[in-house]
Amino acid sequence: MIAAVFRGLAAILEGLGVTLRHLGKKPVTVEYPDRKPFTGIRWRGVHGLFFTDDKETELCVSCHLCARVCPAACISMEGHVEEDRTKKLHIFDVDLGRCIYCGYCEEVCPVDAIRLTTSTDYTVRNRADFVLHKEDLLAVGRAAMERGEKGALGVRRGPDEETLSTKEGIGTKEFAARLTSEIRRRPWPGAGFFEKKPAGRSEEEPGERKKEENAV
Amino acid sequence: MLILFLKTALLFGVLLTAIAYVVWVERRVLGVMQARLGPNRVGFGILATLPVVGRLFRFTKETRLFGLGQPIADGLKLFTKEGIEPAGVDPWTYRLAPILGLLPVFLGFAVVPIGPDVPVLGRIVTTQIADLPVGVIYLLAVGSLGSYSVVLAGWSSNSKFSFLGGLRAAAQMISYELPMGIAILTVVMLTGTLSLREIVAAQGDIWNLFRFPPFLILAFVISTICAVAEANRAPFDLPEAESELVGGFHTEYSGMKFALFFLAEYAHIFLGGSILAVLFLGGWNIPFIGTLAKVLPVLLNPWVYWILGVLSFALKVFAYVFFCIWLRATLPRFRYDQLMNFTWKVLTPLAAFNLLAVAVLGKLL
Ligand code: SF4
Ligand code: SF4
Repeated sequence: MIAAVFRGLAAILEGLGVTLRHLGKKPVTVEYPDRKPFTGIRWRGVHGLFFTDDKETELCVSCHLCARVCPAACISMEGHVEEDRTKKLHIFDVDLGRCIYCGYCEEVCPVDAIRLTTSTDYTVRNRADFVLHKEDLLAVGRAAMERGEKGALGVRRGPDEETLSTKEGIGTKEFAARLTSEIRRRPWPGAGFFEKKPAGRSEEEPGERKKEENAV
Repeated sequence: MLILFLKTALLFGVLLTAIAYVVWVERRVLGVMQARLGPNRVGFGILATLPVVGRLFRFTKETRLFGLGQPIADGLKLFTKEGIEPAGVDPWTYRLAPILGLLPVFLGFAVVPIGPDVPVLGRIVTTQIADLPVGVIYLLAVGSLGSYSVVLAGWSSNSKFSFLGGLRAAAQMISYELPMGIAILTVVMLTGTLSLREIVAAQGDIWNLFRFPPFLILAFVISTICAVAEANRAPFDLPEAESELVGGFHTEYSGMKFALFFLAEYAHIFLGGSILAVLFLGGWNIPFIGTLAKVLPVLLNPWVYWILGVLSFALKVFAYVFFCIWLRATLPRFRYDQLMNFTWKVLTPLAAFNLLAVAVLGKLL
């Protein structure tokens, strides 16, 4: 009893020491609007519509693939065919209030026009402002390009890119093949499940069956 | 009469400001102890609009001063919030409870000697609102009135959470008064007086804390624990246990009524600190002032002495307040049975034996 009291006291004092030591430490908080946190190069932030390298021509060919693949159905777009038979975008809205930042739109885009940037400006004061229109998206894309961003996928942009993804080869055909073969070699986690089950119910003892069920 | 009125007004002002800023200090200290920042954004951007001063000190809209504006913002918010009264409450008890919570705490401050006497315009003015000959008993009596507020709040809110909180508070506050009373009795026995003024005066040479070691230190520890428990502070915050009882007894309160409970809690901390400082830590006595005054005679000038005395008292109280914050950052909440076992099986017998030991020692020495 006495020993328990002293042990308790020691534990309390130790705890007090820990909290006191924290007084001298620097908080980990990043004061967000004043300072931007480091998000990582493949951060899936606000969408941007990208341009060709000369920052002149919009990349999007209005193929509707991103609108189709979007699981949150937050992209709505309209395009038309120009006289020179190029397809041209005239409405492109992304509703950030619904977007889940999954990045499918970026992945599916055949010309890498829509990419997720590292921008973290998701906050608006009005629900309607969640919808980014074509001009906004182009502005985000242009700013991201000027920062030298390649989008969250960061692949298919040439071998000179020293991004994480190219280093690991994520997104390349080789990587996919390696992943697939590795997964194939792995035993299925549910494999021995059915084999363990007793063949006939009549022979087993009731107690054993209970044990088996519990284990499952 | 006028002096009394002025003293009361001054005490109120100082106390309310101190409480407001201690809430801010608590949030900042808790934040740092948990590796975050705490409120640091509400500042005094309004200072930038001042004609001369704003230019002089280079105030801008971004002047934050470590978030020192937070208490003002909090206060304004509480003042302007809607005071919701849920259906089914017992209206008058419901309204009375927060007032009953704050009143006894402020009443308690009436007998606390805060500093030495000072001559003002040829008169000797005490830095104490009333010197009751039974100050200690008055403090204990008034202190336990606070539990009425919690019980009534819990009962009148017509909510299960509040009710449970009120029940817990009643049991806890009454249980912890007992060891507190016995531990304080040790001091009363030593000094032979119940007047707080005389208790402080008797500690000019040596604080009560250091007499008959280790018995008075034990009494001090017991009183500290009980003071924390009586103020319903972590780890004894079962009456408001936010993780199980929403807000405990003040679940159904909002706006200014809630603010009164909040004020009462923090005023209670201050009162606890004052009691401990007066009874054990020498009140406003300044350690080694006699020796220091030989080198610096200016220290004995009544006003300098007064300022030093008040500072010394404030320092002791704030040390206790910091300790409360520190405890809250460190310890998890007690379980209810642990709480009750701790006071009835550990603290009360310990305090009683301690009292006995001091009585015997006092007779022998
Ligand atoms: S990130 Fe996902 S949810 Fe958001 S727009 Fe693209 S596909 Fe839709
Ligand atoms: S952004 Fe890409 S996927 Fe979407 S319409 Fe334009 S080209 Fe197609």
